[in-house]
Amino acid sequence: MNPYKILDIDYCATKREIIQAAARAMRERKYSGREVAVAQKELLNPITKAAHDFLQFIDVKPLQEQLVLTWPNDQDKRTASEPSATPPEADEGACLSRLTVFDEDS
Amino acid sequence: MAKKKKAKSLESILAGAEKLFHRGNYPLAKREFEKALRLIGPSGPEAGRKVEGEGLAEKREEIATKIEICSKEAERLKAEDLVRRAKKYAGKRNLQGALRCYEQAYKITGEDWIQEKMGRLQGALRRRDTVKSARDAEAGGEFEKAAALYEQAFITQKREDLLAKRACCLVKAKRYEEAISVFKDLVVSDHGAIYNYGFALARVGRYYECLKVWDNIASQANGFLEQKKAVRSLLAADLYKRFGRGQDLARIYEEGQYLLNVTDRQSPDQDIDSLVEYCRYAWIEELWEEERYETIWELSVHLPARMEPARHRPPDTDSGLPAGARRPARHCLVCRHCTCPASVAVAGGWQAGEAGGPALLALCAKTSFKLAEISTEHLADLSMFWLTAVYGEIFGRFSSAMEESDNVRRQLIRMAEDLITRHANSGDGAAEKALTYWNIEKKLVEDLSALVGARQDFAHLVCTPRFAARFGKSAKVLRLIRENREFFENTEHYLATGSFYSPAWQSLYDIENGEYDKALGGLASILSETKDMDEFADYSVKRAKFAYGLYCLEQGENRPGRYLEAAAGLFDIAPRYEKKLIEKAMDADEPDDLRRYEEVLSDLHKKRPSKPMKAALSLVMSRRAIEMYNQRLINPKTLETISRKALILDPENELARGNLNDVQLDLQIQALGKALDKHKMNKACKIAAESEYQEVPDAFFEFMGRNVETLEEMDMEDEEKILLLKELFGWCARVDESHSILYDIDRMLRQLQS
Repeated sequence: MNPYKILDIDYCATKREIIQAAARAMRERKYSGREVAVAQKELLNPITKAAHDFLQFIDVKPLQEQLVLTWPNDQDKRTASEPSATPPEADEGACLSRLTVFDEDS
Repeated sequence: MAKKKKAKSLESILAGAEKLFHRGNYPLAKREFEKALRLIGPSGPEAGRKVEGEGLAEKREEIATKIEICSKEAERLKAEDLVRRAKKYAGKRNLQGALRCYEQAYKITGEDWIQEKMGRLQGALRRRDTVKSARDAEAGGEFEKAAALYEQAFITQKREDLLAKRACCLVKAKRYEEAISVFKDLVVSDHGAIYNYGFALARVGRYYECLKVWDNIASQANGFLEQKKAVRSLLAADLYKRFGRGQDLARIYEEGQYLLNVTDRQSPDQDIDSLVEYCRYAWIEELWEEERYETIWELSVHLPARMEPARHRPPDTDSGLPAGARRPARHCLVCRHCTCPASVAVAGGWQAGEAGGPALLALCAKTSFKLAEISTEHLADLSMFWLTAVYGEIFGRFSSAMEESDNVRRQLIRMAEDLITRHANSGDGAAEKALTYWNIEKKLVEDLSALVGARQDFAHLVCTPRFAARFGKSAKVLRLIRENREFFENTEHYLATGSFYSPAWQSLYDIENGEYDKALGGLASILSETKDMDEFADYSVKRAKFAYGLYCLEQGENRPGRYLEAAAGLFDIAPRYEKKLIEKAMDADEPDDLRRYEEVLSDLHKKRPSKPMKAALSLVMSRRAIEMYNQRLINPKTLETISRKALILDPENELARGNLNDVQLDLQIQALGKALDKHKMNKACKIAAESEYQEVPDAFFEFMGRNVETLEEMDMEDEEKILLLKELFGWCARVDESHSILYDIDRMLRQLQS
């Protein structure tokens, strides 16, 4: 059970917003009254709310921010949080010439 | 002189003609009919002849009709022959010859189908010309013209190879988009077409697709390999370009991953590892929103194992450390390349470079939880990751208040435990196994957490045994356990904890899971690879052998003792296993089971004569002896001997004591009866007088009483009765001088003497 999904709120929601969301969910009847009541109860309790905050959300930004990106032809290393303003353009495929080594096969 | 041939008569000519006509030989029949017609024609020799039965004119008309029929039939036969020849030519791909025959046949018959055939042959001849023209144009470098001609030929011939040729010509004409649109619907197998398709894709910037197409060419031609390398570089650059634009990160990940898989990792211009990792995380974030946990699992579960140092970026700063101190070299948990201090910050209490950074660990834990909500497939993973994540690091983030953090941690553990238990209660075998794992790991991680306490430098070692084994942390955990032996309640607690982090961990899991065969087999193979048998390995072997021996005992298998011979050592470390064996022995009630337990306990008693072992052996011996005695397998004497032995082992064995009493009484009663039967009164008196059991003199006096009553009623001289009564009095008095029977005998004597 994901109480945040049932109440359609994010983890920053205040107690007041949780209660309002529960009332709204009751009216919408997308979930049973029991499910809504349990969801509200879980989020109003700081312990169970903290547990759900852990379980229901992921944050990949700390992982991404540690990465060091090296732009091609530009050996500067930058972390992903400070990318190059204008990424260097890639060499276009025009530099490629058609090979004839396989022409006999066709 | 030659004899002049006699002219045939009209009748004979007509008869011959008719014969030929009926046989279907129309050309000859026609000739004969014409011959006959000439005879009866207006200028013929028989023009004036009267034909029998009909007029000459009618005869002429009839013959003329026949001639006409013969002409038509002969033409038809000729046409048929031409059609046959045409088909033969067509079969030999001689389209011109076939067309000529059909034309002649058509002239004869004028039939529509022949005309249609002629049309088709004419079309084929034209097409043949088109393909030839296309080839000529291609050879002459007129690729666009050749492409058009191949297309034209395809319209009429519907052959895919013509489309492939067209597409190749389009590539040569540098009309790449058109070529791709043709190639994409074709299944091309020749290297030329595959190369051209890939080349067209590369020229329009579709480098990933180009490389995938070129993967179907196994050629090692230098030029081709160089070009592939160039396209890989273009793809790498293109990935960065698209990343800069914020385009589809999932695709960038997929293409980047492909590039990493096929690229020489030493190549400096292919440094896209970080980019791929970045996009992986971005994709994972999207997948989490879409609740596609299975895909997240595939993307993330192998990550910790891949975290190994590769390239390092020197730390930018040593801020936060004491003056003069330098931060020890650590590798980023995330990118695998750097030693950025930030990564250490992210890692929290985790030692950088260790398998499984907290963020990834949390991701695996959460994903396995979500998957476990759906099915039982990931329950074992949930146990491994969840406990490690929750105990190792996570709870510290929730709150600065320790008590509240503990509450959150307990709540998280309860949530996972409820989930596993719910699955296990539904009777699912995998879930039951996962619950066993959970219970083992929960206790172990609790212990490690308590051992580490607030020492954050060791927090990364708080993990489940499976996690430790999988991500190479077992040795460090074992060192931590060894160095903190005093933390453990007793030797068994220390060894049991350590053995789960030793190489024998899998066997211990198997034991807990009731898979004793597997446990013993696994242990044997591990030990064969281990040079030094340390204390944990030794403990594991003892545990495994004991568990297997107990299992054999319960299963009624023979010679379980060979597995339990080392159990004495285990009992010294862990008396609870001795208790467990004793409990099992106490539960046995069948003679065979009792025999096996007695044998095992007897062997163990020789090595470890502990009080509980003595008591257990004593009791099992006594119980088995009774069972055998009741089944008349042993005699009272043997029962007495066994009972005496049992009492020596455990003087407090009330069962043995009772056995001994009962059997001794029985034996004395038997001896008394035997002595009385043989009239060995001195012996009988001695047995009755010396017996510690009241039942023996009682039996003696009962016998004497019966004799006195019998004597009273016997028809015998008084003197004789008096003599016998005096003898009885004497025997009874030897046993008990105050017994009431003596008064009865005395009264009888007085009566007789008076």
